[in-house]
Amino acid sequence: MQNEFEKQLRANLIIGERAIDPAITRQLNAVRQQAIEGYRKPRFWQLRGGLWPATGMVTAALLVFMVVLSPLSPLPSHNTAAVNEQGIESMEMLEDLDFYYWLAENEAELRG
Amino acid sequence: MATASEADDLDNFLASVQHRAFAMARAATRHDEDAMDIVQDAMLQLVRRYSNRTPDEWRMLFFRILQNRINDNFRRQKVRNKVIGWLPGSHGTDSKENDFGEEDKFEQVPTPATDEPDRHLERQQNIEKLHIAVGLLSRRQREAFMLRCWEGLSTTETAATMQCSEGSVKTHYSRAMAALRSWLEENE
Repeated sequence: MQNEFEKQLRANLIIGERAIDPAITRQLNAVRQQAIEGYRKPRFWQLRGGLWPATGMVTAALLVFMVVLSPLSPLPSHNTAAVNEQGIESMEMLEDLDFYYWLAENEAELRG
Repeated sequence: MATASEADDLDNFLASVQHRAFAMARAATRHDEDAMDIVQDAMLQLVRRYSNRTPDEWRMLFFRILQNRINDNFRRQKVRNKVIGWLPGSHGTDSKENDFGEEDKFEQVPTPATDEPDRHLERQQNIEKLHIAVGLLSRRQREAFMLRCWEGLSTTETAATMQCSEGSVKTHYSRAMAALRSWLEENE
């Protein structure tokens, strides 16, 4: 409950507010717009629920691309060809094992 | 993302308080540029930190931020005055300080001239006198006066905003009113 003195003070203060210079009002409007712009354009960490799943999907797709399809990682097929060639040679040697035993035993005689 | 409606609510709220906030800051600092900086800081702070609160909470939060910014300005001003006081050629002051370290300014400030015949000018002078008197109150008295009388918050709301008890609000407010009445009567 305000007494007469308080009411008079408040009335004067409100009159003072209304008499603020138009140039000051323009500045205040500009300052307010600046503050609100920051709210209208949120930073990426302020993104709300709707955009997080899409962001996650894009990140996952990028990771898959980097791990599987990256030209920097050597493809396994390059090495398997070499291993296969070596494997075939080994198998042929095992099939002719008797021949190699005979060759070792008779090497001296063959050289004369 | 902020919806257009939420942004509009915030914009409308700030538009509704911007003139009062500026008038309060100017009455406290007696300086237009400082007052504008204070209002700008208060708006940015409210938008950044409390935009997710309900519109009902914004009013008290905004005026709490505003009072804090005014107090920060007084602290900076006090440090600046001390530094200037050490400079050669400056005059030190021996005046009494209040509980916020502010000088007792009620005895130092000249009142505006009162020889204007026009009624409008007389009213303007009364408002100017009142702003001067508000600027001379101690920190807590000024806060209590601005929030209770000027902004019209209840004692409970003022106590929450000032972060003190309701009893303290009543004490600061009654002392503020007594100081204002006394100064305004002396300077009529």
